[in-house]
Amino acid sequence: MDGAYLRQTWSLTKRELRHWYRSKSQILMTFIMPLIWLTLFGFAMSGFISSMGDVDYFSFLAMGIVVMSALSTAMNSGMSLVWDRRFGFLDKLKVTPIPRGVIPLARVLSTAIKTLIQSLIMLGIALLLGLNLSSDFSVLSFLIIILVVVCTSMTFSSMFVSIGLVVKNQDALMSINVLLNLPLMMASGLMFPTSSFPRWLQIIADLNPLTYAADAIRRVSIDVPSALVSVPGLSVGQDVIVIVCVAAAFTIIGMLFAKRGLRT
Amino acid sequence: MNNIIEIHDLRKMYGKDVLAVDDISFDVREGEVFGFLGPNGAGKSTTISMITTLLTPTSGTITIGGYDVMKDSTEVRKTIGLVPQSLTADDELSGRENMELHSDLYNVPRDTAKTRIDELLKIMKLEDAADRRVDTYSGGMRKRLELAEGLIHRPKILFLDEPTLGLDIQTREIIWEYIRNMKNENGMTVFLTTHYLEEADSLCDRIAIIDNGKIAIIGTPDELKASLGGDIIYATIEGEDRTSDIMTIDGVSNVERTGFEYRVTVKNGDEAMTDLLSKISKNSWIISSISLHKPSMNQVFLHYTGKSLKNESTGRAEVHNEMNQMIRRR
Repeated sequence: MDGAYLRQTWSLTKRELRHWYRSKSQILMTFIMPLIWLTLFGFAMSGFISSMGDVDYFSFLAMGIVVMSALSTAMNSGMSLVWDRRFGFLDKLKVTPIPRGVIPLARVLSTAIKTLIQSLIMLGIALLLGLNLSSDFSVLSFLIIILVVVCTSMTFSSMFVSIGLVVKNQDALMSINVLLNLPLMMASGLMFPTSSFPRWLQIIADLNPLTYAADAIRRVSIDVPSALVSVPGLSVGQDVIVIVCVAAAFTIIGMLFAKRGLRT
Repeated sequence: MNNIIEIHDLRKMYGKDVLAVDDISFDVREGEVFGFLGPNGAGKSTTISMITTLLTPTSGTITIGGYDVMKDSTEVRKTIGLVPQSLTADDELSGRENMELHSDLYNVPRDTAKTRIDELLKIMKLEDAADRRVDTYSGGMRKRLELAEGLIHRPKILFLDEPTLGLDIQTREIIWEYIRNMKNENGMTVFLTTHYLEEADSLCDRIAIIDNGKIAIIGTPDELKASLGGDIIYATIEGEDRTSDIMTIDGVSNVERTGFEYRVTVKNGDEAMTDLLSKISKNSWIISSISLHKPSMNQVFLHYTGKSLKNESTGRAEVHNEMNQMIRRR
């Protein structure tokens, strides 16, 4: 890796970020969706769940929603690749002497930056709406949240960029996104503790990186009763290690995929 | 002159049945403007995609500046610049941001990049619009931006795919002038495809016509025209029959006479014209008219492909407009 590599990667990352902050509708949508989850779903469910016991479901869900934007933003990154192919921008990139891995890497990095900003803003909104942080919330907890959000974002954007490299048609990709979106969200510890899942669903959730991400940031930021921990077998530290390793693996796979997917 | 591009037995099959490029071989010389013409579907785009590393050939070799396109694709990519037919600049960025992006991707030293971007934007008459988003540009402005982008790294070879399609005369003039300058001042090689045959005729040092995946003919515009059998001189000479006299002129292959009117087929019209005129003045023949007709590139194209480009190019322009609209809608 040399100076040229970093410059090329950063330049393309900057391009993605510019698209993002210049598109008001895109920014609005990324906030509205989690807000709807947080207010409509969050308040409705937390009233119902609190009526059955002394559980702060709103805080539980809020931390899940903070991770959720990693998924939705990642889906957009796959989509933008298909548009770039369609309008010839990808071919133009392919004629330049950049290493092929730079193309997905820049997307993964820009998605991670977008996601981080969104997640932190969501965290702020959740605090205003009544999120209760645990009394031992510290700078370290905050840094772990950042690490987890960035890694989760890298995992999913690598996944969706790879899909975008293979599926060259935007309608097909849209269907795949819709098909994957709900199962990934539901079959995880994002909105519910997996301890209450039936066994088969638990197995699926245990394979879902979102489960570990939501679990880790909950355990460092809010008071989670042990019954609501999704992966009780792992400590927070081990949770985080799993998340980092999965992110690294997916990013590398995505870059290798680019070598194949960008060949014709 | 050295060959900067060498192509040997290049072939491209799509699937098992479609043979897009059928074992073609040709060379492009360093510093020339090389025209690559052919009807739609003849294999033009496929060939350019293979030369510019976008497409892997089924068989054959392409060497650019000594580098093998398949094995040393990164070196080849540093050597070439491509101005694609479609408008592919990022329209959510400004013109300058697009230029900066390209200078980063080609790793042009930063201070060099800065002056070069200013210079190119100025030449392409985009300096006033440089900081506006590209989606506010007209078609001609976007095309000029594409050209500026393709030149940011001073490529040794510039590929221009239909650089003037659908452009107004003014923009075409700017682009033509720039192509000539680049060639004369920097010795840049230009590989050009175009639907405007008169454009190819006036810009290109050599032209290849591709049809059905094969090179139909290759040569200078004059050679191509001469290959049709030569030029024609029409002359009206009063007095007796001069046919046998005119036949003695070098290069004359045929003379037809109707009354005082002569139709002279000749290999090189300029030389034969001089000879004919000196014969006329020496013998004090009385002439009432004389004119030289050279075959046009249109006739050459028609002869070698059996197709005229005129109808096609309007069809293409429509597609092009549609695409522009699509880009704006994005």
